[in-house]
Amino acid sequence: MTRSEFLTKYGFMAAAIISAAVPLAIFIFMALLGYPILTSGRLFGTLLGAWDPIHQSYGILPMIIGTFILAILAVAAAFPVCLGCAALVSDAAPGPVGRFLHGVVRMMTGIPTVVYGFVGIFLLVPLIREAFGGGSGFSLLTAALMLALLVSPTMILLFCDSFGRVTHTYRQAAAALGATTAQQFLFVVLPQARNGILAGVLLGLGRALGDTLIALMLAGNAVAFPDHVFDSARTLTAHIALIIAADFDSPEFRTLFLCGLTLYVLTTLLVLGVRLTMRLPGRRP
Amino acid sequence: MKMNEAPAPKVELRNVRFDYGGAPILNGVTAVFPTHCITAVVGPSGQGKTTLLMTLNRLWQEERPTVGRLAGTVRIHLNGGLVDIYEDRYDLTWLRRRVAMVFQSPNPLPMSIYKNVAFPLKLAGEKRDHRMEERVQAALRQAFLWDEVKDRLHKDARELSGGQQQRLCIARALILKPEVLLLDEPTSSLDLRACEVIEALLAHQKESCTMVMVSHYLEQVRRIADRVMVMENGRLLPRDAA
Repeated sequence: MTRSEFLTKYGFMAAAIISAAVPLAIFIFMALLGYPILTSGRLFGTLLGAWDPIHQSYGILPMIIGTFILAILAVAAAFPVCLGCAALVSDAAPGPVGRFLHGVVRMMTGIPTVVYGFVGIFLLVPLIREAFGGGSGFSLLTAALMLALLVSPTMILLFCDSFGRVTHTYRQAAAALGATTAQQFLFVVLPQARNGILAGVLLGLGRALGDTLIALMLAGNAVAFPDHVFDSARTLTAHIALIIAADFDSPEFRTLFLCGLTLYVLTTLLVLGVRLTMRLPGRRP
Repeated sequence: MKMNEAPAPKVELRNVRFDYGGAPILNGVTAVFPTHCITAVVGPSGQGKTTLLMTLNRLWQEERPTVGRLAGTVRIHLNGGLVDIYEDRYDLTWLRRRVAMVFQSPNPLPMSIYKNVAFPLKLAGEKRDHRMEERVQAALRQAFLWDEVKDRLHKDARELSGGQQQRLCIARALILKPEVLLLDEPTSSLDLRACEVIEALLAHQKESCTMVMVSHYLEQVRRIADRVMVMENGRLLPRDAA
C-alpha cells in the first residue's frame, strides 16, 4: 500500500468512526447527566406529569404533547402544499419554470430560522389575532403555520427527488394510453414515489420536532396542556432553551436531560423509520 | 391483400417536416397508410422511424415539447371523418385512445396484470367492474394471453416473460379498440417463439385496425406486412422506389 493509499484509507476510516462516535457520545453524555433522574424513581412521574414547580412537580408531559401537536400540525399543513409544489416543479411546469421554482426552493433551505420567526411575529401573529379574535396570537397554530413553511423546502426537495426517480418508460406508457399529465401523476408517479413521499414526511416531521426558535418565538410557551390550536404551548426544545437561560443546578434544570433524551429517542426513531421506509419494496400490484 | 396494393387511406402525411432543437429528423415525408393493412417502415437506425410514429399520436409533444417542431399535415380517418390531428380542437387524450402505440421494449406499468390491461379503461372513466372484467378478458384473449395468465391476473405484470409482457402491452393498447396501432419494433427484444406468437397476433388484428410497424427484420416484414416503406435521410419511400 502506498503512502497516499494508506492516508486515504485510514483518513476516511477515521472520519467515519468520528461521525458515528459523536452521536453515540452525545447520547452517552446525556444519559450520564440524566442518570440521577433516571434512577431516582421519579422517571415516570417526570415523563408523564404536569409542570408545576410550586408543588415540586417537574413533569414534561405538556411539553412532549406540545412538541407532537406542533410537529404534526406543521407537517399536515405543509404536506398538500409541498406535494403540489413538487408536482409542479417535477411534472407540470415546463423546463425553465420548473428549474426556477426548484432554485427558489433550494434557496429557501438556506434562510435562517430566526428570519421565519421574525416574519411570524410581525405578520402572522397579528393576522391570527385579528382573524380569530381574542388571545395574543402566539399559539400552536401560529407556530405550526410558520414551521410548515420552514419544513417545506426539505419536503419539496425529497418529493421532487422521488418523483424524478420514477422510470420514464412508465410515464411514456401512460401518456401513450391517453393519460393526461394529472392522470400520469396520480396513477403512475404517486404510487411509485410512495416511499420517497413517506421519507419526506418523516424527515419533515423530524425537522419540526427538533426546531427550537419558531416554537420559542411563536407558540407562546405556556406550560399547560393545550386544549386547542389557538392555545399557547411549549415544546421540549423551547423548554430546554428557556430553562437553560434562567437556571442552573436545580430540579428544573435536571429534567432538561430527560427532555434531551426524549428528543434524541424520538429523532432516532424517525431516522430509523425513514431508513426502513426507503427499504420497503415498491407498491404492491 | 397483396403487397403494395392501395386500399382506402387511413393515415395521410403531407410534406411532414420535423426537427429537434433545429436538427432535422423528418425531411418532408409524404405518405399514405391504407386501412386494415400492416405498413412496415424499415431503414437504418437513426433515420427517424420512431419519430415518424410519434408524430402520428403526437407523443413527441410529451417527450420534447419545447424543442421539437413539426410542419406539414398529418391526417387520420378517425370516427368516420378525416381529422387533422394537430388542430387544437382535437384532444390529445382522445387521439391517443384512437391511435394506440406499442413500444420496442415491453413497458408494463408497475401494477398487476389485470390493472395494466384495465388501465386505459380506468383513464377513460369506466367504473363498472363487470364491464371492465369482460373487456380485460376479451383484450387478453385478443392478445393470445388469456390462457397463460387467467389464474394469476392479480400478480405483478413485471413477473411475466418478455414475450408475455409485450402481448400484455398489445392487449392494453387494444382494449379501447383503437383504429390505428403504432408498433415500434415490437419484437426486437424477444426470442423467436415469442416473435412468432406476436406476428400471428398482429396478422389477426388487421381486420379491426390499421397498423404501422417499424421493424428491422426483413424476414418478419415479408411475413406479415402488406406494404413496405423505407425511411432514408428523413424521407419515406415505397420499397420499390428506395
